[in-house]
Amino acid sequence: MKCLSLIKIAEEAAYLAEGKRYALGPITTPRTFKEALRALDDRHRGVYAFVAFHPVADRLVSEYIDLGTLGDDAGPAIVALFLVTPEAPRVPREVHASDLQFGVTLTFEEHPAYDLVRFFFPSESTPRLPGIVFFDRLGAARSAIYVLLDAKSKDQVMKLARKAFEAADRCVGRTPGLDDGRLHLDFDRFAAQLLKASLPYYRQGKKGLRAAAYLTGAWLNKNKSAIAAAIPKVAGLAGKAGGGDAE
Amino acid sequence: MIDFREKSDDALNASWIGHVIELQIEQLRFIGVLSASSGHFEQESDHVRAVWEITSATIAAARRHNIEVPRQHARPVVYNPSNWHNEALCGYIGSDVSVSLPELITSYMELWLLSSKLSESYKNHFLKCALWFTQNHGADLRRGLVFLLDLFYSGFFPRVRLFTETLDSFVRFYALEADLTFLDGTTLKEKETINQELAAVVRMTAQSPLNLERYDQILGIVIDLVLDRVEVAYRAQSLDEWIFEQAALYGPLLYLGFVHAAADELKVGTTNRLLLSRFEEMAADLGATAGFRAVQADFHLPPEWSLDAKDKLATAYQERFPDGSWLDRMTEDRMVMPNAVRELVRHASTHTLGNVRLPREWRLPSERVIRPLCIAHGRHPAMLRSTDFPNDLLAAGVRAMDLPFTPESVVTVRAQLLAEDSSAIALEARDLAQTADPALAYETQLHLAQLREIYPWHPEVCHQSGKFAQTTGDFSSALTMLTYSVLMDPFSKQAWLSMSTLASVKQWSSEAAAFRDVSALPFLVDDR
Repeated sequence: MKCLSLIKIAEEAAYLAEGKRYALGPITTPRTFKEALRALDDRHRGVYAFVAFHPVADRLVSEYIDLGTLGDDAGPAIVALFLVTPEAPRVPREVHASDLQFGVTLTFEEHPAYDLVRFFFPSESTPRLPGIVFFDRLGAARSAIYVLLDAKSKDQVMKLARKAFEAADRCVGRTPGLDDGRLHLDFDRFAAQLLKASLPYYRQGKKGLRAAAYLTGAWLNKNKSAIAAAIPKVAGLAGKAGGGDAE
Repeated sequence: MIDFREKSDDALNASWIGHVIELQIEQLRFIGVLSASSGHFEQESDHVRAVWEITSATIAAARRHNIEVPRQHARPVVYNPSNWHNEALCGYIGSDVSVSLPELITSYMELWLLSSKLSESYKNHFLKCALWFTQNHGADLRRGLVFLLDLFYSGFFPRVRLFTETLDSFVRFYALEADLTFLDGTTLKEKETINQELAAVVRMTAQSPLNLERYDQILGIVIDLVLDRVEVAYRAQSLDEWIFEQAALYGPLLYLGFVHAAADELKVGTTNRLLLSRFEEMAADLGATAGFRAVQADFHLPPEWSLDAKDKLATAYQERFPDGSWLDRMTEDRMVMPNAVRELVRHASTHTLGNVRLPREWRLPSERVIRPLCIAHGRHPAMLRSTDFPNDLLAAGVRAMDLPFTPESVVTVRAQLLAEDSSAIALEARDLAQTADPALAYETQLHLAQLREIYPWHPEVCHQSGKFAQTTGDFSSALTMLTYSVLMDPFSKQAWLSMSTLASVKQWSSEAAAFRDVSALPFLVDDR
């Protein structure tokens, strides 16, 4: 599986939005990272999923990412993000196991991946890790759900992640009454699906989200060069039978 | 230098002629790929045919004299109508099919000819083969797409639109979820049935809507595979590789550019969509490179590669990224130079970028790739200099011909100077090589080297240099030069005879006879 820096992805989205992809258009138009993220938010048909893990404590999750199916598991409607070290590649390339050692010397409390989860779910019962934070926007998230990845093996991590992604994927669609020609994740339905699949999750209320949105802005800016997006590899897509093997 | 081991008479298996054949086949591949990006195939089809005929004759001569010819393992190939002995329709040589060299090159030539006359049949042929390959490899779409891309990289699609349309049909077939199981386990004997069934599927699915989710997935595979190839291109180690890899990317990138244009309609997912936009930019850079080479051809300029046209781009990047990261930003965004060259110019400023004199292997294409490059741009190796004529000489020419001082006049003068100079150089080289006085050997060698410096791809200069090297006992150089000379101009009877002579001197009698056979081909030019 390949990955690409979130900065690059966001910049590409900005080029598209500005309609000046050609010649020197992209670089002669100055834009901040925040503006580029907004362009990505506007362009993205679906949600983001940040895989939060500590490279040592949650070794199984880094092993799962190293298997190379994250991009495929997430599918086209979900941009899967994770932290890599020392910097996310600015040209798409394969993910190596050594990339997945971000913050290897940091404790749980210090690790930025944990920080992000705490921003979204700051109450006394900060959820256990590792897990996946699903949120609708990078700019100012309006909805977020955290799904716990409580597994005993990397295969089990994969199984849980796939279940979560599939549940999210099923709930991506047009919002009734909102005619913006775009796809959104229906977080209510998503929560119901997770419940049905008996996946433990946490959901953030509106008030908490406002605070989280404020904090994540700074967090994204601080960690932007380490955030990578998974590019689907689409391994093992067979001829006739449809893709997306459920179980 | 050609990587060619000095051999003994009892080791004729690793033969010189075998090596020549390998390079000839490599040229066919280059011709296909480079023509696809220059769009010049039609005009040059006579030259292409002649190259093919000489390759074919060289293989036949080697076989006639019982010299083992090299095998072409792992090369993709599809069946041709007249010379094919496999039950399989296509595949990789060695693992899927057992294909002789004559069969392989017949596939190239017959299908190339078809590409000019019957483009629909051509596309159908390759589509059928790619679908058949996929179905007979566990319906693994990734393998099927790799195969189709490999066929393009191997030069089977000399007209790029034939490739993009074949690839598009292939992707659509699977995105329509058409039932292709009728292909499973079939052989070439069932060709008629396959054709009929395929036509029926086309009819049935003509009105069916695409499964867009699936389309996006298949597109994802193409993108992933093309990203790999982009990485290969950036890792090029010479101008030859860079030229080839850029041309090889042109087809897939052009296809992805078309998809990009329809991305909204096709509901392509976010990541794929953003990557498509990136690819489109790369395709534009590749188009610019091909355009640059076309201009060089039109103006009879040296086929030189330099970065001086990149000044404006570099300056813009430096203004945007004043922190010193402009070079990395520019090369990651744009397909303007491979990583190795980026490191060579790492210390240059935007003002001096164009003045960096790149080493030979980055500035000028090699003797191996020059003829295909010439065919792709309607040029001839003998008419190529490594540097342009001095300005005062061109100006004097304009005055002498009483022409107005316009760029067109300079082009006219340059063309005329080239024609005169090129034949004069050939004669000079011939005279030099005949110098029998051993006392003058060093001067002669130096003089020939100087001529080759100015006309690096002049087949006759190369041929005479090879002959001269032989007289001085430098057989390794002689082998290399003579080989290059027939690669750059396969029509020279004398050059093939010189190869035969050298083989005789080395007492490689079978090879001497084989080269003599080639030299006797009726359509060669006797330029004594």
